[in-house]
Amino acid sequence: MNLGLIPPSLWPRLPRRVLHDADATGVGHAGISEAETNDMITNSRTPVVNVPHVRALRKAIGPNPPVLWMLAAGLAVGGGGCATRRAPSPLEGQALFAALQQAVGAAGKKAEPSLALVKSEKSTPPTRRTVGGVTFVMRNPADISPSGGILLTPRGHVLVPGVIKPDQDDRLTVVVGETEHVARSIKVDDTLGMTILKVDSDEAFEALDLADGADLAVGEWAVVLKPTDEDSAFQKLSLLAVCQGEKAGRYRRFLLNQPLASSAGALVVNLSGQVVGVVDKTSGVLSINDVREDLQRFLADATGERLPDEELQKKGWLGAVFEPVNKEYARARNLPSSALLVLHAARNSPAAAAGMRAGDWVVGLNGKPLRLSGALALEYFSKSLRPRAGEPFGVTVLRHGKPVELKGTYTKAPQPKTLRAEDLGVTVTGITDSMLFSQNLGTEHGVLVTEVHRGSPAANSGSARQTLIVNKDIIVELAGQPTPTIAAFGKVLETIRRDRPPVVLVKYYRGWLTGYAGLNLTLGEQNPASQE
Amino acid sequence: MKRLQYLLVASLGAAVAHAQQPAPASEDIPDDIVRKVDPSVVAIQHETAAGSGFIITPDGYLLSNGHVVRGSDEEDPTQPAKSITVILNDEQKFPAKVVGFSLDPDVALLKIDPGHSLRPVEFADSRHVQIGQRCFAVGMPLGLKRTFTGGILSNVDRTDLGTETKVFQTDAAINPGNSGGPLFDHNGRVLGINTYARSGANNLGFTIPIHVALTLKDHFLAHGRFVRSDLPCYTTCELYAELARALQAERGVLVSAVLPRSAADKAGLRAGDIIVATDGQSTSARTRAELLDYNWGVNTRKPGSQISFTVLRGSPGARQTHTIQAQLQTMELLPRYGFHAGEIVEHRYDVLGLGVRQVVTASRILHRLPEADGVLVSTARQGDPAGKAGLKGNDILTHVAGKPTPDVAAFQRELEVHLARGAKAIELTVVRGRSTRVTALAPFYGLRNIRIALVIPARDAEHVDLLRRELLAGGATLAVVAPNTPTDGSRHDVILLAGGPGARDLWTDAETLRLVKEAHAAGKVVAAVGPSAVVLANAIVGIEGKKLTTTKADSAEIIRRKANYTGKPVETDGKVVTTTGFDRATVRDFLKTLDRIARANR
Repeated sequence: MNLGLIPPSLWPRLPRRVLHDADATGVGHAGISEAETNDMITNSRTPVVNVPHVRALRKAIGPNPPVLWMLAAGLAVGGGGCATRRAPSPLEGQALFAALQQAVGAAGKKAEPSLALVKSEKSTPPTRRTVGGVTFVMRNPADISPSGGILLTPRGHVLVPGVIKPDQDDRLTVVVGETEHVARSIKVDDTLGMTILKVDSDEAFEALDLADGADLAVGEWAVVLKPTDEDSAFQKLSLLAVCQGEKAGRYRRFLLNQPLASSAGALVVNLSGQVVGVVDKTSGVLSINDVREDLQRFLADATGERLPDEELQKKGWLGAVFEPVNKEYARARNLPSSALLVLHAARNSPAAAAGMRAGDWVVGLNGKPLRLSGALALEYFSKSLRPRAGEPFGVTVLRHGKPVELKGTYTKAPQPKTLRAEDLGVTVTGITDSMLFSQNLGTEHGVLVTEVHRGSPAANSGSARQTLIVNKDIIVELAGQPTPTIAAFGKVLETIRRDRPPVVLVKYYRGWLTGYAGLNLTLGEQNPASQE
Repeated sequence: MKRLQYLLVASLGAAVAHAQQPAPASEDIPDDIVRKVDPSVVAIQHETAAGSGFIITPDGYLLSNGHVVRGSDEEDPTQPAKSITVILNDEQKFPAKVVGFSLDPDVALLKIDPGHSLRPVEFADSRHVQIGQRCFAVGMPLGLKRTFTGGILSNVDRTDLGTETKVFQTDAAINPGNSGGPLFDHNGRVLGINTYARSGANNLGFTIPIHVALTLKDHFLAHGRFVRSDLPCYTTCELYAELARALQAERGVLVSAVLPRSAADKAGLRAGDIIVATDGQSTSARTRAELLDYNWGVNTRKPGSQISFTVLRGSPGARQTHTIQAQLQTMELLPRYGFHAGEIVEHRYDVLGLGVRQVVTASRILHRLPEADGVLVSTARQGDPAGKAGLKGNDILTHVAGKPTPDVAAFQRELEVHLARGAKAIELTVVRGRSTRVTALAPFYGLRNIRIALVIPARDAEHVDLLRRELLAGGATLAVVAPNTPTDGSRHDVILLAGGPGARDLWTDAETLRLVKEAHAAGKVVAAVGPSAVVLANAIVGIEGKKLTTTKADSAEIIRRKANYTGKPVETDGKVVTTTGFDRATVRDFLKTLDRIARANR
């Protein structure tokens, strides 16, 4: 990692009242009031946290207790509290600065091998024009600007912000370390707004460890790691930045005081080297903690590998369906506007076990009142919480106007079994109480059709308009035998496979009405060997 | 003897004619056939659309398609178009009245008063037709009157369109405008009513068989609408080859579904039963066309009549025969689905963005609605109070402020109690899917503190319910006044006279005239719908030159009193607001104008 000198123009903008003579060092803080700073000064005789950058600083500066402790306290707590009464001398300042640079460099060291620069070139080279002895290089407007990328697997899958469709024939170049490789886009995720590229190389790469993630508090320092290339406008730097807040949403995005518009794809770490997130196209830092799961799923889709089952199994399940309270109703009934109505507590779910009932108003979680309202409250409850199976929860509900505390433990979500019946041409799944409620199904004593295989007996109705069996039908009887569960369905399927009848009778629910279909089992994919 | 000879000649003639029945060798439509059918085919035109039709009786009954004469009222789909003109082939024009219409089967019956005898069509036996039979269509494609197009019957059992009955398919050119026109066989007898054409395809036209249309004609004459008998169970599937084999039943009609607690359930029918005889007659539906014919046969029976089914029940090989007796009920009004625009009137509160209808079983099945008793939300506009309350289409409202509202009348009653007192938030219990929640409707009372006297004529008052509920939902202090009642005009800011033929009685009603005269003199807003505008012309001093509008029929009265009759749908002149009251949309526009003027005059 080249640690160039940080140009002054890139120094974090600092509130003037705190700077005093610390201006020259570029060390200061943002976001902490003077009063808090004074507190830190008076209360900190011992280092608050023993972190590598503090050790580096200590080594660099030598034993100078007041300044050292102040710095340590400030940097560790999330902002260097440095309203010194006594200005450090220029020599001390330079040493301080050098130590800071070292610390910043160390922070990025672990992640550096996993960073890549992604460039896309159209086949036409950029136009160059020489005017008066100066050569201007004009990038063609259609080029995708270079961005950072992150290596996710040793085989060379790179995560890039933005959508690069796989069928575009732009030549993508990925620079890792000193080497250039060719890459192509293999998968796009529109929700994340990211693309996964596959590098054409036999080299083994260093994948970034996404597990060690951290969030940024307001006022906390972060290091933005941007990969570079001599031809491009970027310099390989670590940029120091300060967190100014976060944007709520499906994934949180941290806002830094740096302009990040040209840093899409850069990795952001905190001063301990933990990954905070990735800079995305909206110039926010996409929180790795929020996006990790979806990223892993995206990667699994792209590489074709299964997600580690432990991840799924660890995810906690509550089993309740909520709806935000209607504003007018909340006003009329004096309910908090962040209240959530319990629409359904699934049978045998943690919510039901805790005593939650449809009609309850959820007003608090784990002792704290819900703060967001409307759709955001719902998102917070379902996405930002990230409960683990086995974790306890406490929910405060209003029942008949009185608050009731409910306690329980998250469990693993029940996964209904799926069965792919090739002979019939349907994929079916068991029906849980949650599904019955959320999809408003006609019955739960059957198996739900989730896919009708093309060209199969279930699809062949002889009419171009509709297949015999359609998605969302619930099969309740097969060959005259009831099939209330996947297991029962599977048993009947076995007898069909054994007896090989030419037609089989299916009884199903379509909405509220039952219906019958006769499946012609001789139709469907023909086995070439049997065609004599 | 002479008579016998005459009969013989006649019968010989008939025999000769009979021998002529196979199609003539040449492709031409013979000149005498053209001259026979030409005067029977008419063009039909109204304010929004046009089509064709044909004359079926000499005194002026015509058949056409339902979709040609339907009106454009979203709230009341049973209303036909308002000003229908029928144009004969010699360009004589007559106003027409719709006796009844249906959208599936797409048939309408109209009546004109021609003053002279017209040439009706002859009917063919549409139950016995053949594929390949020559036929020709006459109509007004794209406005081109008296267009003859010819072809063959491409198919006679077409069920793929999803219509209630099977239709004929023809390759005689059917274009927009041919709707409602006749399809003749080569003898000039009507096979059916041309109804559908596949747009973007060549020569795929569809015709409703005339025997279906004639059954509907009888219903329209008797009841004004098609009154179906409700088949107690659902027979939605014909016994196609695989199903017959899987059930091991070569003939019969399969009962696909029986709703719990329905008449069929109580009578003893079960899903999976195979009906082998109906009323002693052996019945079977192996093809879709046969199934539709069977359903049609039951639907067209008289409601209330007895029906008996002989069914086979049980697993193949162990079947038992049962006989089920049931009574046919009248089928409920149809909701909107498929080709149907529905027969259920919507009660809409425009200022709330909320419209409700009654719930029928068909709706419950179509939209998978819960069993709850309530009214169905058919309109819930975003941005209006209904949308802000979180209401969505197909929600069922079961309670208003805790009071049950099992039908529209109860709902209106309960809601209007709260609207009248200007409630800030009206709680509604909403059932959606498998969940129930209570939400609050917060009306915006634009007409708050405006006192309106609504004078209702003694009989046939039109749009009264619409006026009343919209004004209430707007927050006005509404007082309903009967005619000939002494009323203190100073206690009201707006005097509104409702319309309808009964409004003509108000023209000379002393109390009403006094009320209007005093109110206008005091600078209040006076408004009138339809014929009541003449009351304004009678009562207001200095009406000369003031702009008024009213129904066309009563315009002469306005003109006689020297007022300025403009004929616009809604007219204002200072504080005088009038409307023709032509249809619901016009009355809604009138209410918007009245709203604006009343608030400006506050």
